[in-house]
Amino acid sequence: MPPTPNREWSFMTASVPHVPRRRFLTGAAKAGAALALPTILPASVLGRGGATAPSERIVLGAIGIGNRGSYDLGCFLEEEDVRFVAICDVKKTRREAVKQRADSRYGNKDCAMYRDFRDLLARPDIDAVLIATGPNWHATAAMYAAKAGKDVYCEKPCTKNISQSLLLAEIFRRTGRVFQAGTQRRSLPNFGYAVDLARRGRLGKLHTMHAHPGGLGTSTSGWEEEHTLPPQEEADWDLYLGPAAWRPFNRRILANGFGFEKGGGLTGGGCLEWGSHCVDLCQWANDADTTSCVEYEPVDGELHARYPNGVKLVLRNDGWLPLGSCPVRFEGESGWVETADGGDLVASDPALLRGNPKKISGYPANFHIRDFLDCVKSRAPTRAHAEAACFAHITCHAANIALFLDRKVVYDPVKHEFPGDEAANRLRSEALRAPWHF
Amino acid sequence: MHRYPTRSTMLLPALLITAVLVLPLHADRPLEQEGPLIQVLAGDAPPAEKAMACKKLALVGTEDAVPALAPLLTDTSLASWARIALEAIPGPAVDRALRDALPVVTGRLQIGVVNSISVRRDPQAVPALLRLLAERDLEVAEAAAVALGRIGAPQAREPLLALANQGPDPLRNAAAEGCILLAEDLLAQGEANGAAAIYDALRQAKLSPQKSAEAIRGAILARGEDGVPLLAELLHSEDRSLFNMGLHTARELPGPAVTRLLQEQIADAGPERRLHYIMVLADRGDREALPAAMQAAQEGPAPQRVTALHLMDRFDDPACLPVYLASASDPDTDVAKTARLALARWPDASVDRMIIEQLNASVAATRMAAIELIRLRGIQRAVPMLLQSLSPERAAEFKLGLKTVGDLATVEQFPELLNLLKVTPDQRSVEEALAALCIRASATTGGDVVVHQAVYGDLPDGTSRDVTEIVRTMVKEGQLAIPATNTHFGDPSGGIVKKLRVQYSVAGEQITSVIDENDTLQLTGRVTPPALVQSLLEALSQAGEAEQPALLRILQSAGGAEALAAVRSAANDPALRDTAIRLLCTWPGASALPDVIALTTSAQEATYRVLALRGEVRMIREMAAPVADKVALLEEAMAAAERSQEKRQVLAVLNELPSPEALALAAASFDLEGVQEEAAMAALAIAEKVLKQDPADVATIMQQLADQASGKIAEQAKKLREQAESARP
Repeated sequence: MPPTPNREWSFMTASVPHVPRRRFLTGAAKAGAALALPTILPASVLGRGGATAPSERIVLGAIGIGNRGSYDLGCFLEEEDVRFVAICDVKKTRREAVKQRADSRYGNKDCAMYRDFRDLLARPDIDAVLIATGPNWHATAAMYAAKAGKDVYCEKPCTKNISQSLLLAEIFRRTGRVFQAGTQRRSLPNFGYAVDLARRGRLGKLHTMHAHPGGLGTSTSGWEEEHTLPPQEEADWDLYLGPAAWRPFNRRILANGFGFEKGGGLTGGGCLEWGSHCVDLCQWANDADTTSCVEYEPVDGELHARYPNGVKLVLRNDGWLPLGSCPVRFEGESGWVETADGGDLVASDPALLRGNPKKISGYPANFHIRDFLDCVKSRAPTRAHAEAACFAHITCHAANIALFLDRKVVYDPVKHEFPGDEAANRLRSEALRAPWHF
Repeated sequence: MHRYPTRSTMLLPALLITAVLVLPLHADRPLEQEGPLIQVLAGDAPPAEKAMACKKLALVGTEDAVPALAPLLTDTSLASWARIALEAIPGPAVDRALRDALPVVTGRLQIGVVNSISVRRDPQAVPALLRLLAERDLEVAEAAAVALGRIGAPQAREPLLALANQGPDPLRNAAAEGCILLAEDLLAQGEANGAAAIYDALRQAKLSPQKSAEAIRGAILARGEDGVPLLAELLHSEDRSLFNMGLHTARELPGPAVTRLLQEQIADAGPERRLHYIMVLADRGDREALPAAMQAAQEGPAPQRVTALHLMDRFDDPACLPVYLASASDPDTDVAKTARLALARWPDASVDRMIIEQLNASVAATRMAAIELIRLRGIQRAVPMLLQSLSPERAAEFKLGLKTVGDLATVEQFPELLNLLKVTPDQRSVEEALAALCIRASATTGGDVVVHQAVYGDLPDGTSRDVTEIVRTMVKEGQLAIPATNTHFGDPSGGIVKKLRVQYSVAGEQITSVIDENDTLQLTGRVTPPALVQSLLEALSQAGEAEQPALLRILQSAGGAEALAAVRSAANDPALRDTAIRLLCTWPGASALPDVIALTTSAQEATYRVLALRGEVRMIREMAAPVADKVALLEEAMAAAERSQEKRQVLAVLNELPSPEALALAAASFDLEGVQEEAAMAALAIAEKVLKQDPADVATIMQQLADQASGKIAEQAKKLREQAESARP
């Protein structure tokens, strides 16, 4: 259960003035809204319809490769038009393991190892980076990469708060770099088909969407007892902490990786971990990649939210059809559809499922990574482009804020503030430890 | 709580992990008062407590907390925590404290203060930040350059441009970033000319390719439609990074002039760039993309055509239909598949008529595509025309057509299909269509299911609860998947794995099912329309030898008592005996159990005895009966089994029936040749589950096993014996 807020809270009227301003929104927003279903790029046009010329290869580096990153990297290494050349990780053992894997794949000794990702980003030959550090670093590393002229595939959750979400979209728009959030369900046929039914009005006027957040608690990272600091070359604690506030070296925090500072600030937790997938799919289904929910309210163990167009979003943990993890359900005035990681689709009318593509279960990332690589070549928006990731994460962050405060909050997705709600507004951003900044 | 149309227990373990980092000091506690937090900072509390106090002050702090927070800006351990609070607290006292700290700190601490000033956009800090542009520590100067841009300080324009032109290497790009932020701020205020001037100045600077491209993009966007000539330069560029930025900017810049530019490019470009431009048009939502995409879909290499078809799919325009229909029969499978899926999803039923007309096309590929589309779209009214158009001489069409008929035909069309069975050389396709129709026609609905009694708890003899009304309500709401969970039925017998037993009937056929907690029971019953079964029986009585086996197989798909009786009877006909016996052994459910039990002893041929025994074990597993009865049947099956393979199957099913009876049967199998290890493993698994229920027998049998076996099995048996001994009353 979220903690009970202090009822003696002294609300202040002044807004905290540091949520970034949106720039050049008009044109970009229109382009994003026009994108209904993603384009599949032809192999030969993009130089992967056979032997790939070196000039057509995408030169890839990776930043932070643990369990999930290792899986992602495997998908990249399977692609003939990818040349993986460099690994950066704060842990020596991981650097060496990835180098061994890459060198074995290519039959050479060429994979370079870096402890500091800025050295990797300084290489002009690298076109794109895979970022799978852990949520503490995702947004910061992605924005540094974009400014260095790299395209980015970034694992989720991509941001730690609302402010970071907005900056992510802003910087990728400004730099023109390609961004793909690691929300691979956007590239899986069952989810895409369900979204398509909703977007094309096949369910009638959409009124309610359901997402499985996998836990609605909130949590934060802390300060544990000090352990002996390892040599920097073995594990660079300062770089591991990165933008998170300083604390002494602790082995458990170092080992935690993915859980460290997940969600950021005071409001991490399951809502963001799984919501970055299932809430993201709801945003897509509601054609809401350029906005977020406006009202959020905890109700009997669920979180109810509402979009500007009136569509209701329900985050709930139970009551699902047995279709697998990460389920979503879209309900319109004339029908509904539900799907999940098992790959099956269930709909109110079997006729709705005519023409649905071949079932794929197990939520592989190959298709999503292929989409990213195609977009690196075409410069088209990816399926999970920065703008979409920004607003899906904002909806998750705002939901977390409502859960943390244990009350209804109202959000303005144009001004990006909780009008007149100082407590909620303060949770929109958090200072980054120096020297890191956006 | 909301009620949803259907519910289940399906919660994967991974979803239950909430990723909460449990640490000794947390800030996620009820919000605290500011005063005590300030006292923590002012006192001798350990750094960890002060850090958490800072985090909490970010939520509740006021300007009163600033005097306690400001000194921490010089503390290498706590400065980052203090800045979390200071960036969040409103009011000029914070800005003042940050400005005061600026000259006091150096290095990273100074960068931190600059960044906080930047985030708070404090215009009074601009003079100090301008001075920092000359700082020897280039990282500090870079942070100051970006901060000045973010604050939007007009007086920073010239110094930043100068640095972008002539500053040391890393500082040039940071200064350029500051300039771009300044320009964006001007543009947001409506000062497009001022913004364009900054971008133009940056275009002359020697910057990284990335920053140069950003400057050009800004110069285009700041000019609006007047920036189109510059955009055209990018789109003509042979420099890949500039061309890429051109594509990006063309997606961003609204207006008809960009649309016209892209149309011109499409007309002039080679195949690769042409496709890029069409994609940009489509991403912009410009309908002008449609004619270009339709043209691209009809010519050129197949991959280009696939992309073009996908782009067309975004517009839902009926003008696309002829292109889709033509492409649906394309020799390239990717092209054909893309077009067919687009047509399958097409919402307007008017396309059905166009598809049906193509059944009479002169080209075979077109007819095949039409048949596939009829199936994909589920065009039921096309079945008569389809049956009329099919000819066995066109084998591929005939096969696909019958598959489609099987998917779509109605019960009324069943006799026509039966007649086809007599005359066609491709009997198998017709048989499959008839079987598919039987299965579809026999699908049950919630209205057919009557729930007599449902009980949830420690079955069969422990505490349980009557949940009949709950299950009836679920069925009434159309829910046929019943999850056995505490969520739905409460927890009448805590601490043990419960069971759900439901007695129900489907169209009069009585069924009893028992499932474990967290499993889901499907309340289904197969009821084939009697008229359909009668048609099959009549056809069987009149059929020649060639059709009779097919009709028997279709009867198995139809199911039901009459169909089973007909197959049973056919087992006595020498000509049909093989088909009939195989059908009895694979008969769905458990209704053929008496037949297969009889076959295990009566059949002369070893093959039939093996098939029957396998069927028997499967049916025992699937039947609704008390555990003791099932174990008794398994004991008979074990006695009848001649080979190790079937004995192992018996033990595998036994494993699923943890009970004293099952344990006794497993123990009785310890000496059976070829399955000693499987019997021992089954006994161990069952003993663990019934240990509390029957400790005396478990102790005895585990002692027996420990004496007979060796290694790990003996060790585990000994351990279980000890546990059983101590569990005895």
